[in-house]
Amino acid sequence: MTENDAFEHRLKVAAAHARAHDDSMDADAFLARLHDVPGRHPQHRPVGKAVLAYIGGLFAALGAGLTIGVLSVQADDSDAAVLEALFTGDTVFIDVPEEAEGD
Amino acid sequence: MAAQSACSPKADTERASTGQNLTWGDDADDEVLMERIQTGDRTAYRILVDRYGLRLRGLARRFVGTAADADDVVQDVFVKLWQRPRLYTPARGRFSAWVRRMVVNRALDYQRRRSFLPLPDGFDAPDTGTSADAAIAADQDAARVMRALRGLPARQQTALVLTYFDDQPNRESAAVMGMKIKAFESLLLRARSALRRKLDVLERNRR
Repeated sequence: MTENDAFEHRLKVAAAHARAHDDSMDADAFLARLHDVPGRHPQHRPVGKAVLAYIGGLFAALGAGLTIGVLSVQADDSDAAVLEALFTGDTVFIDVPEEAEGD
Repeated sequence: MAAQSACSPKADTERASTGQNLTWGDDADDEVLMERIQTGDRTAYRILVDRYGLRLRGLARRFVGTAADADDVVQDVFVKLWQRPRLYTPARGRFSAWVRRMVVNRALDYQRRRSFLPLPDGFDAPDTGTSADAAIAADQDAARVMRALRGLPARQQTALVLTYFDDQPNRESAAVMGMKIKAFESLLLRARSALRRKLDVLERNRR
């Protein structure tokens, strides 16, 4: 067995070990918790165009100058997905040049 | 109690020529279920939970280490999926890749917020070298691999978890990470090398 094969095997054993531990956790209670989500969290309805037009008009009336700075990122996400992630606080995968990707 | 859908199981069959299972029921395609969830259908939501809940929990655990945090990560994603189902559109690719991506991103956010990396559940004390029990040694080695894995940059960590722990083919993993498959394979190679170096360092420090 080469060193690479041995390392590959080691990773697979660690993964199997982790999955075996997952199986021992209380699956039913967890699924019940997820099933309860709709009862505790009402669905958001999309904001109507009329409301958006009103807000837009309000800003215009106040003469507010809004500038949204969009960083230039090299990601496979569409711009819309990147913006959405920025607003919702999610992580965005951003391509980093290989030499800049440290350990 | 989940509300029953008013939609007939035989509905939407006119689009079946696309190759998708567009009929409404337990075996409906994920994308069809997401359309139903957009109308507030709790039954469709429950089917997706049963289909993905435990698998996503396993995925989250590889990043956050503790079972409680992993459960919170997956719940956060399902809350978002229920509250804002329009975040997903088929233009974003397959639902299975999209929801995995949501879980990975959320889990990485959890990981970053911690000021320290918790030891995984079930982590044993460092091996003293005196135990002859192979099972204990295997447990400890798995814990070391997980610890080294969580010390890698997020993208390398994600590539290894999706490939080895979530058992995804490279094509699916690449989709989860929003990458081309060649770029993903290159990342995976770098990630494996980085993990080996990390484990070498951990093992040198134990001696």
